[in-house]
Amino acid sequence: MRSHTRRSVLATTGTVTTFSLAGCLGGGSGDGTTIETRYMDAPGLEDYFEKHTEIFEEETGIRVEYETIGWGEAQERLLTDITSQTGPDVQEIASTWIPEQADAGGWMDLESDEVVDHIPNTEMFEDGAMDVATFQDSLVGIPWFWGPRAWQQIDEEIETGGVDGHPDDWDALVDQGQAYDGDTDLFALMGADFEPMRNFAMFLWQSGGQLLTDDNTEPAFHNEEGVRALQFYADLYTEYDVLSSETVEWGAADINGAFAGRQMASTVDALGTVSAYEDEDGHSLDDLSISAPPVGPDGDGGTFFGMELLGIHPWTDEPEAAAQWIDYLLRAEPNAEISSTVGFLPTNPDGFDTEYFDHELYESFNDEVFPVARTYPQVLGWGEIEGELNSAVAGVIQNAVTGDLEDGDIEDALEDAADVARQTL
Amino acid sequence: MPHTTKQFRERLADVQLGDALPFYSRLSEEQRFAYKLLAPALAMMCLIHLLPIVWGTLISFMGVDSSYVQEWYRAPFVGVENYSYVLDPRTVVGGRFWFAIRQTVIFAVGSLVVTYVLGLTAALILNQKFTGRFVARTLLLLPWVAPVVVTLLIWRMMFQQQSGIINHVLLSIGLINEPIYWLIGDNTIWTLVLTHSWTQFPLVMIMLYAGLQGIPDQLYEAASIDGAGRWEKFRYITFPQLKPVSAVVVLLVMLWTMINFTAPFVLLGAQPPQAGQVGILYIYEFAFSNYQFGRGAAMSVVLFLIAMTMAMIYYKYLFDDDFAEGDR
Amino acid sequence: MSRVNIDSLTKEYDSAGGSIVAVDGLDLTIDDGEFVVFVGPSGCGKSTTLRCVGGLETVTEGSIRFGDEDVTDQKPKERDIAMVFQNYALYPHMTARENMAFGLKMSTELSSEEIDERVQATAEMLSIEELLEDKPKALSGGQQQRVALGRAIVRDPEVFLMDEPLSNLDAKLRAQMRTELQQLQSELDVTTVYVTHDQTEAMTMGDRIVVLDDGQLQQVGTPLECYHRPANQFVAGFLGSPPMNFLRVEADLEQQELQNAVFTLPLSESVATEIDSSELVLGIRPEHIELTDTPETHGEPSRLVEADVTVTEPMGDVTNVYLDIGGESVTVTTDGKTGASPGDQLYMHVPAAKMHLFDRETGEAIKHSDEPIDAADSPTATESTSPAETA
Repeated sequence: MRSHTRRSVLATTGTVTTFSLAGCLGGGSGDGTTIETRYMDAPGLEDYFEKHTEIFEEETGIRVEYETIGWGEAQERLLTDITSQTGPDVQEIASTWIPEQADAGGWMDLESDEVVDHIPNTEMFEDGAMDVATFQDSLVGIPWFWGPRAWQQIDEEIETGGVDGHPDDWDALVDQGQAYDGDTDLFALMGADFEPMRNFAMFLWQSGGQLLTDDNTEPAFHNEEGVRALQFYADLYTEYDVLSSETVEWGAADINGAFAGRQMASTVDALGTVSAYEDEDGHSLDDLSISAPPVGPDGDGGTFFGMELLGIHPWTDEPEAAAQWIDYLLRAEPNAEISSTVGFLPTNPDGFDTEYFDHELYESFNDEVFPVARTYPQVLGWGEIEGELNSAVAGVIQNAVTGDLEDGDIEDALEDAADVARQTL
Repeated sequence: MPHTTKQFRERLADVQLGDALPFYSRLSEEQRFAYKLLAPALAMMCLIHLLPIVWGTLISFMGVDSSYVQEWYRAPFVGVENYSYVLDPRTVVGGRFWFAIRQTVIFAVGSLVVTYVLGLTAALILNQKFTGRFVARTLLLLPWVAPVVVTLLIWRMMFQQQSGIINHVLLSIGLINEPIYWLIGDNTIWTLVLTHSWTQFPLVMIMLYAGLQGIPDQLYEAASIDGAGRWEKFRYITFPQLKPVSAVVVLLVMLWTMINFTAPFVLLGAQPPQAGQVGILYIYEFAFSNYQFGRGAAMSVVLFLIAMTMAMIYYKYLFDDDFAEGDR
Repeated sequence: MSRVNIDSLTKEYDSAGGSIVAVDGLDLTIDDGEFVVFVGPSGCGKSTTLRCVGGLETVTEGSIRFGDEDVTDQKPKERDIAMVFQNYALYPHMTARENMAFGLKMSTELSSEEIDERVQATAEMLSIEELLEDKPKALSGGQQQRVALGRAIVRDPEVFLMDEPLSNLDAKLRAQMRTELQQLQSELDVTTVYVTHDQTEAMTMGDRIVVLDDGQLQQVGTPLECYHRPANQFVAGFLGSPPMNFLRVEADLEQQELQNAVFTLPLSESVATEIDSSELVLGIRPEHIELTDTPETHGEPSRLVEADVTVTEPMGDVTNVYLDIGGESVTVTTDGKTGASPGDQLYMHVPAAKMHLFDRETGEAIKHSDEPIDAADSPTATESTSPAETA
């Protein structure tokens, strides 16, 4: 009785909100179908969508309204949307949010009857991409663009520094870093301020370890491989002096700027640094070369990739139109154009045949880096584990740099994170 | 049009609340009128403050996680389980949370001391008669009126270990021998205190300045005649006279600092160091990135209770100490 | 205790339109143990002078000496003075005891026991022992006044400075405190400078009065001197209540007469020789005028002036009768049994001996009343001030 009343109150509130939202956003849809869509803010996005919504409308008669949202507020906006079951029809999904949001009922199963015939053919995507897009056996998003972290170097700077570049393994990385004697300040760099966990994951995979057990039920990083990976990461700053300690404070923008400004000769990063470099006057993609990051002691390779997807919210009134729009965006041309605009790689392999990726550099990404690229497990509670690992890794690296890291700290940090993982899983 | 006010009063008087609210019928006509005027503001306060507090407390006893985000009221009632989870110092989360609370207290008390000292100094300077006082006042208000995110980002740049101007200055005047890490490691909490205090002290300054202006000149003259020097006048006249306004300032700064989110969030970047993980930041990260709202709510309630307890102890101490007679 | 010497004291304030002269070349010597009252209207410079003596204002020109010591540039704390303020300026956050002890704590090396003793003794002297633990807010105006007084007395200073200390009290309490203060001062025998705008206080309390107007010294003298021998028209008009009557007259020296549109009064030869201007003001105190409705039986009919009664103010012991003489108003204080009522036509007698004459242009006194000014036998003085108290 009581809960019934409460529910009807909530229902009423929800309806009112929907109406008022419709009132705000609705106008001018004419007699055709209109869908609302939302994306993470990035330079160039407005122009892109202005152009493509027009083409799409001409083609299908479906009007697409779009808005962009900053990363800082995206998570909270989505939460509000999911709680109130309101918001756009189509929205960009960040891969790491999938488990919680899917569990909360924020994303429609794209293999359901309503939409399955209108979404892009998923067979064209890499298996790794589809792993991310699938949560608990349902397809929650369509891989849109992705970016693996690769060894990137400015060949000229590397040569000036008197080393060969493209280190094959950890030892080569250390040797080159120590031997490097170039004009630029830094040999190589990985950011520690923004998700240092990604670097740890990379070293962990290279070290032969993994984050969770295969069935995603137990943590697997708190062992010899994990300690070796994190120790190596820390040693790069302190023991080997390959990474400059000041850069621990650097965020993504600092790194992009440093690479574009040739303040460092090489980095392990996604395409953002490449774009930043290319955008600089007098710079050309020809200056750069790319390869998979160095392998670990036992010859294991690995690198992290991040991916953005497109999903449909279950409260949409136009699932078919929404699916059509996603299908359109995944065509080779539009897919390549958006990927190029935001500094990622297209998930539609045909995208590499377009003008946007007409450079051998991108071939290397596709051919050399993708095969070793992995990402986080898609399991409920991962967010908490990731948060904990981020803190743990950041703590270790920061302490290493400030000289506060003591014997056993690495083991303890990983063990603590494993505790959280066990509790969460 | 005097009769308009009268009509308004009469119409308000017609609103019959006495039957609905028993306490209301015991009030005098004046008090009822006052309450009616207060009603809209009270309603807003309830909506904005009381409702979330009650709601948050309710959720803290429920297992609200990602599965129940859409229908939180369907989440199971879990008793104090959320509390025992977040309060157990032996677990990682519990340990983190207690550490975050400790850092919060350091943040609040540290900021309070720095803000108050800075604010009082600035207020005392402004209270002197000198040319350019108006300009000085405007300048001193800048940190407060400037957009806080911009201010914090500038501080972040200045605190950079290699390129920041702060280390540069400290090095060149010989106070330190090698660059200090301000934004990572244990120093972070002090960086936070300094930066937050910088953005907050003008408010304290203005309040204390107003307090200073209210102290009658004759008290200082009497003290001069009685043989008090500058320091004695401050110690025996200014400071005690500022007590009522100080009391308010201290409470506000302390509580506002405890719930301040912007400073740590902006200053410490995407991966805040442990030492900078103050309660509110930790709770936010924990609750929102993991969709752990039940446990997050429990943490919030704990933080709320700690803040309230501190406020109550503080007020009790004040009233015991004859707070009311500090005024004139 | 010491003698205070004020030498050509000038105080100027800067203001938007130039400087304002608050005190203009004041010379004054106050004897050791003397009670001097500065009196004058608002803005006359009396408070400024006091504050200069206290060191609360810097001196623009001139010097101030306590005894042989030049204190002109000394800070207040170096001057060994105590001051009582108009609104008491008690420290609100301190108890009465702490208020009184504060000065001793700040300016002496006394131990806290000694301070306590002195505070206690002073409190007993002022009968405020009971109030010592109360804060000012809990005290009545009169009690606060006593504490403020105590705070000054306990210091045992060289000079007491009092800035309108009684003006915030009600009339009855004021009268009582006036007497008490006078007694205290004579007991303590401390040089005291007392500022007031109330001429009753000035008349009753001071050994000498200093009358100031517009930053300038008008007259220094005993109260009776100032009352009966005013140096100029300002002093004459300022002291006394109701104030002295002024009538514009022309002196006809040949006829030996004072002429006015409606009356003429004979002028004695001795006075006439003093006069060097024909434009004069005749001054006569209300209590020195006699009214009669039977001019034919009056002993000096030539000094009678016809007048119409406009208003009467019975005060009980006396009655103030307001007369109209050719458009000018004259006040007469008669005994309370007078039968005059508005509309009556009476004759007023202006005795030559009690008459004052002032130069109309300079305001300087030319002739004074012959009232005795020796305090010992001056029934008139006490009589004359009594109406003021009730005013």
